[in-house]
Amino acid sequence: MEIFNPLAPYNLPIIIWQTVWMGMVLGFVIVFALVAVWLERKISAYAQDRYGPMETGGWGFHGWAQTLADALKLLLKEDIIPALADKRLFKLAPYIVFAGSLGVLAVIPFGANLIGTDLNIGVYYAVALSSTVVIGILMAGWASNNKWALYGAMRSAAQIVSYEIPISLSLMLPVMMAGSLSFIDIIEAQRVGFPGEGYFWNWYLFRVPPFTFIAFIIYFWASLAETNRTPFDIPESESELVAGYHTEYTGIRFAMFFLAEYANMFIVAAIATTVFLGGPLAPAPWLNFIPGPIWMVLKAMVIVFVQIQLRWTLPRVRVDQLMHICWKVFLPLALLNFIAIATVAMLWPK
Amino acid sequence: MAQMRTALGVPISYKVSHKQHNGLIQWIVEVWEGFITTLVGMKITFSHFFVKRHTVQYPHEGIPIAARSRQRIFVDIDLCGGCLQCNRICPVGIIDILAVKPVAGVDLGTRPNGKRRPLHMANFTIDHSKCLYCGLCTTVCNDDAIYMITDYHYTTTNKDSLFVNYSKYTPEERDKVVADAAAEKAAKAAAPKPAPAAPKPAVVAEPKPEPPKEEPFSEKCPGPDEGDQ
Repeated sequence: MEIFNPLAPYNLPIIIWQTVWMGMVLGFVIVFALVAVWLERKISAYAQDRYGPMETGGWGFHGWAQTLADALKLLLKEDIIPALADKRLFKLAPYIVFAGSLGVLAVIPFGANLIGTDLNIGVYYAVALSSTVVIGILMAGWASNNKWALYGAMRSAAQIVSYEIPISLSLMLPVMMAGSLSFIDIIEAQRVGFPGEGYFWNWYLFRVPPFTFIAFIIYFWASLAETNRTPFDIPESESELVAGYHTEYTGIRFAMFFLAEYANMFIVAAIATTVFLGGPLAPAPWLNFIPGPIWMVLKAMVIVFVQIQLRWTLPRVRVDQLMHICWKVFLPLALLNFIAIATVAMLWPK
Repeated sequence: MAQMRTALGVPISYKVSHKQHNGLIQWIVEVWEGFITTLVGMKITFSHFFVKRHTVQYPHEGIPIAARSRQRIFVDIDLCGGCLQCNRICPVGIIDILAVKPVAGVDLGTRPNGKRRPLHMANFTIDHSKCLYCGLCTTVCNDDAIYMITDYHYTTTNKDSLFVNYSKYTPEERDKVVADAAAEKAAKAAAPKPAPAAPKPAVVAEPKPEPPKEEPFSEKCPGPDEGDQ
């Protein structure tokens, strides 16, 4: 295999394309974060028989500009750094967290060929890079010199490190069935299947009925813990810790954390879409006229919607319950799934 | 126990079994119930998306209030006779009246309640931002000219807009009325007898009311003892 040489002149178009693509992805993530925050407020309000933001952007438009105004406010706010904070780490932490999130987006396919870089170890890269977010979170909590931030960071680290295991084991199922770690290969493997080409029952969610479905559920729940969302939001539980690891952050740095949080929501939804729900594939061949990126974003948004709705349905679990769910429920189930699908993949290779 | 329902009235039939099993069976039951009851909870929250909102979007809509509820005070200046009772009783002194006696020979007609209109109501200002809603002014009014209305919308971007003049006189008319009264008084003071310590001429451009007030009520009221503002 040829080693990619970024300095070679014939690789210049690739470099340019990837830079442009990541700029587009960054723009998409920012827009997504604005929409998702608005959606979160709206869904929380509607679940509680309220309206949520209604005024910003004009009466009758359901406050569509509310997050835009909030983001502008955050950008204009003073950037306060506590006197006793470790200033260098404090300043660095949000960028590490956000870089970890944005880096994963390089391998998220938005279409059959629309991808930053089709790594042949895409799934591994995504799982590995999203783990580095822990470093940024620990850095933020430790450098803040604040007990709430430190508690939040420690909880977050414990939680994310624990839940990496069920996530990885669940992601292994489609990888085993597709025989590849590349997201593009996994998508292509979901196109063909038993009765016909391009139908939704070829997606890995429905492929081997009980096991892949359980794997999807485990991935979805563990990804909630990965993104620090309710019911696993103990790292930033408002009633116990003020805001968790970003208690001391203000202004643009807080906005970076916020952006990373919502980018993570999209990333886990996009990975779930890609490996279990066929990614940019249409559910039926006669729906192929709708382009792949729209299907991809649509499916991801449905998952994001469920994430948000779940947040306003369930209460927060305790730390011991969190660990119980991870080690005593998800891990055995994921291992069982793994063994079952390994058997299937061995008996009926693709 | 009453039947649980979603916000749309759909009954929730799922019942959690409290039976204790052994080992692995219990684990499976717990995991299954954890999953299913989450779906039940999501069904409940989802049903709330479709029911009526409980919020009232206040500036655009409101809750109807009682027809005779008493909110801000209002002056029907046509009914006002200028007796200054409200001015005297107001605990915070926010009612400011300039009632001028018409010159001789001028008849101001009658009020809607049939009584004679005795005075020019040249100025009648109320500083609503200071009102404490005691309602005393409405109780002392002889003609029910000052009363409380159901309007409670006070929000404003400029506090001065709460300083309301209920008089129908334009500033020019007010100045003219005041000047006429002063001229007549000066003429009267000069002609018949040398006025002892002639009362201050009522030439007041400002709505600082008092001087002309002494005149019309000197016969009825003991004297101007009100310190307004």
